[in-house]
Amino acid sequence: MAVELLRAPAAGTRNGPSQAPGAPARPGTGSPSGVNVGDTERVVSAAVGGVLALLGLARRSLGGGAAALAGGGLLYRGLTGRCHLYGALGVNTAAGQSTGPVEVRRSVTVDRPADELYRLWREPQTPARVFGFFADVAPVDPTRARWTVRLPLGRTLTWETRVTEDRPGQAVRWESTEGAPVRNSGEVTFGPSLSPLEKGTVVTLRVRFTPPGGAVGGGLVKLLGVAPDALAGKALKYFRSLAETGEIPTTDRQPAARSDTR
Amino acid sequence: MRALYWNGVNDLRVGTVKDPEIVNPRDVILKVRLSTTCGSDLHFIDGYIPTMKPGDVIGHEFMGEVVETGPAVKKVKKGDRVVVPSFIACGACWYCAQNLYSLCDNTHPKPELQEPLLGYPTGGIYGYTHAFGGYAGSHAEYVRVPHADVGCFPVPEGVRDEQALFLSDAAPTGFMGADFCGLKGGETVAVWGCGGVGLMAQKSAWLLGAGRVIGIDRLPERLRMARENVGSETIDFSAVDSVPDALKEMTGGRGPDCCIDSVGMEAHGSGLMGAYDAVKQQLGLHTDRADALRQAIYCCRKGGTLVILGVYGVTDKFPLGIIMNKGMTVRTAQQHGQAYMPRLLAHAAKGELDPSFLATHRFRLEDGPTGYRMFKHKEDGCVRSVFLPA
Repeated sequence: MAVELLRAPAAGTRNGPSQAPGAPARPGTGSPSGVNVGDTERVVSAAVGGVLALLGLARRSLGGGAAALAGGGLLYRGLTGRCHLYGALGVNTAAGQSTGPVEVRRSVTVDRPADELYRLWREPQTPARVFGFFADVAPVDPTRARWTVRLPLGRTLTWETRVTEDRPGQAVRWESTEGAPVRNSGEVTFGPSLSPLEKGTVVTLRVRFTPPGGAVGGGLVKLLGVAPDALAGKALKYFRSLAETGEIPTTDRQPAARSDTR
Repeated sequence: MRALYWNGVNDLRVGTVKDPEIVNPRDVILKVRLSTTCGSDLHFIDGYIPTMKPGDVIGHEFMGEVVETGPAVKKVKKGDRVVVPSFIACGACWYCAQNLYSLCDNTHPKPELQEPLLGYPTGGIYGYTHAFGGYAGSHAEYVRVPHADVGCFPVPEGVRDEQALFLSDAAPTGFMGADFCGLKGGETVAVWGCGGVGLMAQKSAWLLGAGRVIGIDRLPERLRMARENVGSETIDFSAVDSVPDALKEMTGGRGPDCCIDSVGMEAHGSGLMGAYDAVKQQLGLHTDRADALRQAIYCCRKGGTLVILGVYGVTDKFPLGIIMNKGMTVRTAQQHGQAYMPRLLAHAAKGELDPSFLATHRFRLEDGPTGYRMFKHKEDGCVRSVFLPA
């Protein structure tokens, strides 16, 4: 995998050899104009970032050190998810990923009582802030929310979730409603700290995707299925920051000498 | 506003970018009065540390004046002249409560870029790669400072801008290194590197009770600073056959009690090991030339303390067996500046700490690329280039 990822930019075949001009993009396998690096792509890229960083260097030594000083640049591309990496990911995850549920579970310890964290989680704007890096989450009513994920090529995926279980101070569960392009469900639980050194609350997020196997669903899983644990981890860290400091760390709207300054 | 930005490997430029703005409630905007180069910047300028993006405003060692405050800022006031540690810390998480500010849980906007490598993300840093948060840096007219009540330290009357500037990074990093030595009084402390951080580590070793301080470098002007501004003994590693032999002789065969590496991944090594490192790094086979670090490990006395302040990637050929068999203690961190700043400012106000001698060269921000070139190649005895954006 590392070899493929590393060769993609060097060979200049970012879109893959089989992509005919003007042909419709195959979902999840990159796209002719997939050069915009969205947040989701960045998260996906991060999942292989570590592998790339470590294996990449090792492979390079086997490969003979051509364009050796580009090592840092390649790592950078891998970590920031440029389009060739996205394309390579699509190819690499095409097999064996089109069906079957994906389930992830991540936890953080937050220095706040469970009741307070539960109330924060249930505030209408919290999901939008915590998951905002990959989806727009608009509250419909106290138990329903509308999720919109931005995909490459300007496409979007939307679905609605409703809360199926609400135990104050302990847990919230939700499920996608009928007609969701990708069936999904999630739960967040609030439990006692597992470290004698740190008081506070262990917040655990479980997310399940059950793709229908169709083109759209398969595309989403190819896009998200690589790194749902990174998605969950980032959302939880943002939740912790919100709870402990009242804000989420961001580079939005900052100065930089490029168009997307984040 | 005008800002100095990274455009690619060994390609720095000055350009016009949008002004920073208050984004989060605990932010302030600082009008930068002084901002300086750091040796660790050279690692991404030279392309050895990834996750820079073209257009990133760089710079992480600075001081300035508060010109705008966010709605949740309580202590810092408009008009305050402040110095800011390079790492952004929230002051509210478990790590900040332990004084481990650079390990803050709540200031990394892009943890997914760093967690795969480190296991757990660190705090964010100004102007220092997206793996460390991707925040805009301080080589600019203005900079946004998140969690300002934790990161902005008012500079006392009588402490000049150039004195305060280096309390942003060189001084707290060096002071932390000396603190990690756990000095009880009378120890011999050897410091590899007489740049800003190394000289501050030497100065701090004196402040914390060292009995002897030895600085190691190859540049005459830096060795002179170590002797004349800090009061250290010095070793010119390019002029002696063997640094370990020289240190052994200077310590009566005992070795230094504490060894501080303030060089990092681009050491100018000598001999076989130095050549090995340089070739492998050039071929992209590993990220680090760790010659100084290996030498420090070898030179340290049995049961001594090794402190690593230099910045590294994923070093291979690391002589762990020497550390183990000699029963050494290893301590290291990125600077926990917020923990040391009150004490450093007190030393500065009392005249016991004046790092302004590090500011050998001053530039307008427009001449930033020249400032970095001179700093990188140590032209004209350059120890630190200081930028005046105003």
